[in-house]
Amino acid sequence: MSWSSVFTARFRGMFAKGSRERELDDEIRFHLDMQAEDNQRAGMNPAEARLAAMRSFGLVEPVKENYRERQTFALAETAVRDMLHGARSLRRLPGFTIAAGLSLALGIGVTTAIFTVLNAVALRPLPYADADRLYWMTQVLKKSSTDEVTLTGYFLEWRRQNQTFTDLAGYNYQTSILTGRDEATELRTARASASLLPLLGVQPVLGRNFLKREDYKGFDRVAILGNALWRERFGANPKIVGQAVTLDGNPFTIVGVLPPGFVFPGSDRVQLITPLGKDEAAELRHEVGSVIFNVIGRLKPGVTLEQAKADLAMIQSRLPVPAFRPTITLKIQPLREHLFGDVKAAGMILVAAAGFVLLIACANVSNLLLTRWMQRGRELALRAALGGSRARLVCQLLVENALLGVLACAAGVALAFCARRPLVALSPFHISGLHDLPFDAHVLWFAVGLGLLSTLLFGLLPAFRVTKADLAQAIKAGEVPVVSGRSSLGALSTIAAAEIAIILVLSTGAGLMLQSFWKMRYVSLGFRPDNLVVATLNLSGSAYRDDAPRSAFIQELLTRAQALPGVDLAAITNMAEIPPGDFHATNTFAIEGRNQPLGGVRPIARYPSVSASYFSILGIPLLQGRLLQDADDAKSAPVVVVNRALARRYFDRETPIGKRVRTGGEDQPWRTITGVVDDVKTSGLTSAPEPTIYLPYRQAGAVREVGLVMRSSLETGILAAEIRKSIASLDATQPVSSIQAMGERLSESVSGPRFTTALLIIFAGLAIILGLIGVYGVMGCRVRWQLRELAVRQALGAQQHDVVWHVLRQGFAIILPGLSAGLLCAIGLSRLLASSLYEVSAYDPPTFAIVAVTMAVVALLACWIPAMRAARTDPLQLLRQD
Amino acid sequence: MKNEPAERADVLQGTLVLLVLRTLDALGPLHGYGIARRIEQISGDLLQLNQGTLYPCLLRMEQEEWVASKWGASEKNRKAKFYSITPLGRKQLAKETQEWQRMSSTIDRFLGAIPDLSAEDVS
Repeated sequence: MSWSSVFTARFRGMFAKGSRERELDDEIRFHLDMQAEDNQRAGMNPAEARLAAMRSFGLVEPVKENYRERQTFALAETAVRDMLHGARSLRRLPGFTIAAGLSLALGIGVTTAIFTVLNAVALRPLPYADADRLYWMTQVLKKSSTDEVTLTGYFLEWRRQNQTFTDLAGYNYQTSILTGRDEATELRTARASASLLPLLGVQPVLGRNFLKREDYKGFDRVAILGNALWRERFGANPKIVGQAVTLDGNPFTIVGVLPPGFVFPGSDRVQLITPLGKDEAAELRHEVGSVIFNVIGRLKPGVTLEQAKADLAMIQSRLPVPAFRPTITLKIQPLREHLFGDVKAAGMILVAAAGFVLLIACANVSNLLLTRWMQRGRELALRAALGGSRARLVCQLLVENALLGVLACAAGVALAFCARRPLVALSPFHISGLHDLPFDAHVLWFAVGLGLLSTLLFGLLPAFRVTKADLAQAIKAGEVPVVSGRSSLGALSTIAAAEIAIILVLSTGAGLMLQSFWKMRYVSLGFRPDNLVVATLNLSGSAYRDDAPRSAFIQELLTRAQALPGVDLAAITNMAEIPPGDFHATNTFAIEGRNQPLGGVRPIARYPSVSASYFSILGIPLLQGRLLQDADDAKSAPVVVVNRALARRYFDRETPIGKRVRTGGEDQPWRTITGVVDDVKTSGLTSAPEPTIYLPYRQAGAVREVGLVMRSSLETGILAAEIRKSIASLDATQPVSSIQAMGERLSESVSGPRFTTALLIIFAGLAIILGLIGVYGVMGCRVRWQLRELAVRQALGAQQHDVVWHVLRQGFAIILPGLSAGLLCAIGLSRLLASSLYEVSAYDPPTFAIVAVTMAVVALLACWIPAMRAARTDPLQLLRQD
Repeated sequence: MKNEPAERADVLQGTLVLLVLRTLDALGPLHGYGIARRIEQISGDLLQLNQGTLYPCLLRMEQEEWVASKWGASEKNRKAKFYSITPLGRKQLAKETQEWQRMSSTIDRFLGAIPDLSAEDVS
């Protein structure tokens, strides 16, 4: 309670300073007068009395100081005064203010913007109840394959027998065609267990969740609409529950609508859910072997991940292993990591890179301040003499800069705020749940922290340097404080060297990522992507249930596509086979004459159906034998073509030509291998090509998810229109999933690395520009301080090139340590990048060498220009100026 | 050099408050000089220190609302600022007196305990 009255008194004290000062003067004068009178009365003469009075009072000024400080909030007032002084000096030098402010604001803004992504991904809670207890799991079924799926039978047993999860739910993504309202559209849907919504803690906003009995095959013709779909296609009809929709030709009853904020736990924007609808009895008896791609579970309270893993593994060990899949391992990760793991890694790299750019901006501002303050050496020495302690002076200088820091921070925050929408739109981070980047307390604290840190960083070093002035030296009249100047130059050079080191680290990182991305996207694709256009469609309508109408459609489509003007060649294959391809597409097959030992690993491969022209359209080279031909149809002998990966893995020393393989079940015929082609990347651009068996589509049965590849020099847009017309003329109700140029398709699949690499290059570029400006500035400053010395040298006979060399040598003294330090740091830090690199070593020597040499050359150039300028000034003029 | 007197006054700062409050309580409203003279008289040579330190102390006490100040006329009809103790000040006086007495009696006991110990040793 007492300090509140003190506080109020001090607050009031701020406004009555003048009168208080006078009052104190009066009081003290009164006191001294009275004491002097008493002294006189005690026998001293007036002068002695006065002196004695003053002596017993003590020094007046410190008392007044003390009094003044107690009266108000002295510290705050001093700080405000210093800040105003800083503001004035900022206004006096608009060039400096704008340059420094902008570069700082840019650094803070960019770093904060990327932090919003990281925050949304790693820090913000997922939109589900108690999301930290949610885990995503899968079985990993085969060796040397990225097949992460869970057998339904296992999933059911896990659900029944486990002790560690409150519940499990499974879901698979699908595409379905919605008909009956306006035109047919393709929807992204999911088949999900009835337990999914309760597991996530989500309630439908209209209607209800699936009932347990609806989660069985045969009873599963119900659907829950996503909120967006309900608004867009069904007019937000409040009486929608109970109505029917037609999906893939089948009627479904709508039983509920999801709430607006709900996001499906995956990277697909799911518009509608239907039940998982498995034939549970058959699955448990292992008569059917369907798979589930996503399983989610909620850990019971108090249970750890290790316990859950052990529990599931134990259940698994008690179950019979299907004969063809002996190696089954388990993979469990927190749901957050499953959804956002990649984004988090990229986000951290980018935040670090942006932080480096900010560091360089701070270093530049620091240099600028040092340069400016070197002139203030005398003023600051005087201040020190008048009683300012060094700490006080440093604080004062820091506060002067605080204004700059505050302005830059505010501008940076504004920049980050505005950058959110473009960031989400341009980046590949538009995965579920990341459609908007919230600007919450975390982000603000981060920005404020950055601002504080930057202010300290760029303010401390110059403040310390400059207040180190030797008193006697500095006050010498007519003498420029050379001593403090010299050591300040040292500080400038150290900062410049540090900038070079940082640029090296950043550029090396950018270089490595660029190489990695290049190899991913452009190297060893195995085919020629130019001039290819890909159209995909899903023949899931009721008309295409049987094989015959599907084949007819595909045949006709191929003919018409080929006949389009501008199309050189057309081919048909599975949608999953067209690069970049899908890595869930392998399956087992049998090789004739090889008895599989029980429990041995069966051979696996992809076996897409292709039309004969597929190989020539993609430009896949033939290695042995012959390609598929149009003559290979339902009436001729069954043949296949395999790729090099398969030949190498399963026919190591013998030629595969002439051998027979059987894909699918025992009812399938044995097919003869007639050719071997080279590998194509069809399991995503970052995976090695898998063994593949190409079946002629006329022999293998028509595919449902059709991919049409066309080679044409026409523009994609024009061709797309033509193809849509052709398809519509074949079947007006068949929607087209997508039409894209092959190049675009490939780039989209690596849009994550592409974005990260692009940003890194931009940051490295910014850093280089800022850093070079910094080095140039430092060298210019050094040259200016040495002008007289250089002039003397020239007068004594040095040639221009001697002068240039002299300056360049000093430049080396900055550049070489900077490069070495940078290289060491880069080698140390690039280890952290290793997990994001594809087929590039984190210590790739050519990258390091090229970056180092380039930096050295460019930095030398930045030194050379001031050197040339110094050499050109007339020495006599300079000496005369003294 | 500017630090020294302040330090010595700081050491006495705690007791200075006590002394001022006691003086004002006993003698009624006084101006600053009056307080200084009275304290000097009563405490002998304890206040060979600077009288100037009284004023910041009085300011602090005024901020804590232990004393109230008013400008008035001195005996010689000169303008002077008079300080008087407030009820809060009386409470503070009681508290500080109690604390001081407690501390001094603890030290007294300690000092008194030593002859007792030596007496036991002998016996």
